[in-house]
Amino acid sequence: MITIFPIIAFVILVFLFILLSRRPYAVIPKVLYGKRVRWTVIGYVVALLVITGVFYVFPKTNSFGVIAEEDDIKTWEISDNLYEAASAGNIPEEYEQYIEQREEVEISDESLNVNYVNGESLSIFIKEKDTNDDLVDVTLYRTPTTVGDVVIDDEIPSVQMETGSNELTFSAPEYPEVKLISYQKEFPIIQFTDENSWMNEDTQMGSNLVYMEVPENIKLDYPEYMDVTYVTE
Amino acid sequence: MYLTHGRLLGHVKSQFQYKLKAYIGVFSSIIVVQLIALLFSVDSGSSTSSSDGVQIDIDYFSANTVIGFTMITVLINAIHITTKTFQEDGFIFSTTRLTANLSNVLFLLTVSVFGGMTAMLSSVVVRLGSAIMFQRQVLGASMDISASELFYGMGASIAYMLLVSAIGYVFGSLVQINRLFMFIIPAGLYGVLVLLEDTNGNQIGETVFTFFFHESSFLLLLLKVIVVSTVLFACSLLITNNKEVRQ
Repeated sequence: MITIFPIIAFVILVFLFILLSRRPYAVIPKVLYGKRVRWTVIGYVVALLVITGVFYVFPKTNSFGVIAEEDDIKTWEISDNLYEAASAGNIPEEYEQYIEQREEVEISDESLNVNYVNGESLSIFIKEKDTNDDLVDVTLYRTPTTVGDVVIDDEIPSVQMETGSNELTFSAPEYPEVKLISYQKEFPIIQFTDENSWMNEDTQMGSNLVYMEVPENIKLDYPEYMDVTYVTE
Repeated sequence: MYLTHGRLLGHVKSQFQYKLKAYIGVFSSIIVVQLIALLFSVDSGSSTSSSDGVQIDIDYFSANTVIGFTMITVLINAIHITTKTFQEDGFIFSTTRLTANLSNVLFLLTVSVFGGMTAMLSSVVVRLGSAIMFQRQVLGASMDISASELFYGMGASIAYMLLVSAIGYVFGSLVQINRLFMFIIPAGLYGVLVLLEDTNGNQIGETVFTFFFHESSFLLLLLKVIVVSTVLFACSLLITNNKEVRQ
């Protein structure tokens, strides 16, 4: 639909031009010619100035997301590095900022049931512990979701982790459909700034990753569709 | 016919005042076009991203359409002002080609200021209007537009309007000399743009576009536009100066 807009607009433009060029002005409203047009012009300018005043006076509170402190967040790079570190069995401290939830699950049996409900795929990395302390350490990581330079994590619910008796359940939330408006600065403005001139904010979706440290005597039971990787050092 | 300096200014002033009243339809045509363009600015573009059940839909808004439409309207009006019908309107005064041209330039400058200013102010209407109409959340601080940005945007818009009006005026003047120019100029320009490439393989059109639209200094942009527009208006003056007043 958007693609035919310029054509329709052009046709209307040509039609108007012909209409306004014709004399006599039998079909043109009186406010567009003669003595009244001066008031139409003045009224239009005044209306625009009043709207501009209103725009600057009233606060704009419907802002979505948080503007990142960093200029250039590379979510894909963060996710890739996190996956690499997890598969190597050594996640550096700098990734602690992406920890969503951390739990210790006590195991009274020889096995732990792991489930993922409502979701499609969840990456789980499992590392064997050196000690048999009957505790499974589970850490859920979440990398940021960004649109342009805005982090929108707070507006999107995260995967939930619940622990039970010999059971660990992850559940995907019901995601709301996020509908946003973005305003692009006009070309006579952005030529004096470094802003992107295209109407396409770079959207980078974050991802979830589970890192588990499991005693070697504990067996894990999980459905086939789960993406489980055993860390080998 | 020659005029002394004082009389020249007086004639230009009275013709300019007459044209402001007589051609006021130009201003109303800009208003109508901007109002229509505002409707088209409601949906300037959209994008959808999804992953693992999360879907993000973004609708983009901008007043670029309004500015573009206004530029086209100013261009058409600048051409129109050179036509015989419009020129004869000015002959109710004692006039020369020089005074007629100077008053036309002043009129086009006024139209450019009006068109550029209102087109840029409409960016605020697009922002407020869409926020009220759609009641959606706005991504980050994209709705913000500082007063200085608006000021520079307005200045650049006015400059672009002046530039297109100068282009339209020189084109119209050439067409008045010979109607064949109506076809020769667009065809010739197209040929030049397509065939000529500079040493880096860039199209000339791209170079001209970059010369104005990628200029990151506001003052340099103004300087470029003023110089080019002055040259174009001077060319129009030279082109039409040899014609008899009522030719």
